[in-house]
Amino acid sequence: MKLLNNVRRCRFDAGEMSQQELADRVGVTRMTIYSIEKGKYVPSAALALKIARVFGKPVEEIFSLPEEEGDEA
Amino acid sequence: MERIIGYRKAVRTGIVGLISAGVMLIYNMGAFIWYDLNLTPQNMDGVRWMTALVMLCMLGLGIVHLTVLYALWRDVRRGGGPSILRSIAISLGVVSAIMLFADAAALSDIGKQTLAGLGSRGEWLIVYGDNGLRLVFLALAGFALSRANRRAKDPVSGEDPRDGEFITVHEVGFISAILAVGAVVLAFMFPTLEPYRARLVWLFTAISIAPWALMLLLWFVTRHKDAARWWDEKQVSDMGRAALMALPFVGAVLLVLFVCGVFVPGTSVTALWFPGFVVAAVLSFSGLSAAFSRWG
Repeated sequence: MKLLNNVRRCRFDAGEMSQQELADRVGVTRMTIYSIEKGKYVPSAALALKIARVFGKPVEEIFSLPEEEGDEA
Repeated sequence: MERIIGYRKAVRTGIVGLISAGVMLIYNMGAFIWYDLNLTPQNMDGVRWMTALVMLCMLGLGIVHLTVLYALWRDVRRGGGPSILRSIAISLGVVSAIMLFADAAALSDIGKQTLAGLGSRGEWLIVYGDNGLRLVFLALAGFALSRANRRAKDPVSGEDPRDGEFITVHEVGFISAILAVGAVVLAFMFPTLEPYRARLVWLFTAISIAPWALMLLLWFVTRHKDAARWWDEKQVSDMGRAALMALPFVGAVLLVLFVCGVFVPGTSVTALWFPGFVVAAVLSFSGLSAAFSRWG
């Protein structure tokens, strides 16, 4: 399953927050954040909600399904 | 701050240890070559001091192995990030530390056989092989610790230690399993080992897998107390994928052993199936876990 995300942009908007800082705040390792940003790993719902909470945005503003998959759903 | 100072101290102690290990190893190698070429029952008494110094150097090398391995692990925990060279150094370091006992036993046998006027080709092969392994360990550890020393000067640098620990433990597992395969192949290469092959396969596998077992233990003991969970969710996912792919691989290895046992007479399958299972499982599971974590 593919999941689009703009975690990198959100980090940029949050004053160039580092991957490590975001990882520490949501309780995962830096490599997990890196993999999420690259689209290699699809986070759990809990982790996606935690990331959204850090940036103060609704989760669907950060994560979204690709067009076709979204239509199928 | 106290942690950083402890880390710097461990790295510097490791580097000093490496330099002294280099000197001790050169002395021992020189002494071994001299023994191999010149030792006779007549001149054995005359080399007692030399032998005592060799033993002292072996003891020193044992201590240095522990110091260097500790410094390498501190580097992982301080956020040195994963490094395949460091993982190879850790694997070879643990194996060559254990092999110091094999060296002592081989040297003792060489002494007895020389007195009895017998040759000791096999024992010298063990001694030279082990010291070659030690040399590679010292070279790789030197490279890893010089990088760690540069990092130690910057107190804020560093990767997430949980990534480094996870990948290092699995890389060491993968390398240990490769060492075990190599050691078992060696056991089958020499026809003179036939009578002891079953026991040797077990012993070689146990020694080769020891670095992985030790790292796993160290990881469990020194895991971060403040970590909310043992693994983070991607690491669990990586291990799940690795386990799924390791299963058919282990099955295939056991099938080969089964077929050999049934159709190829004289194969030591009774001695091989369990080490084969352990090595295949560690090789595939650890190798894939490390690969998924790094690149997946």
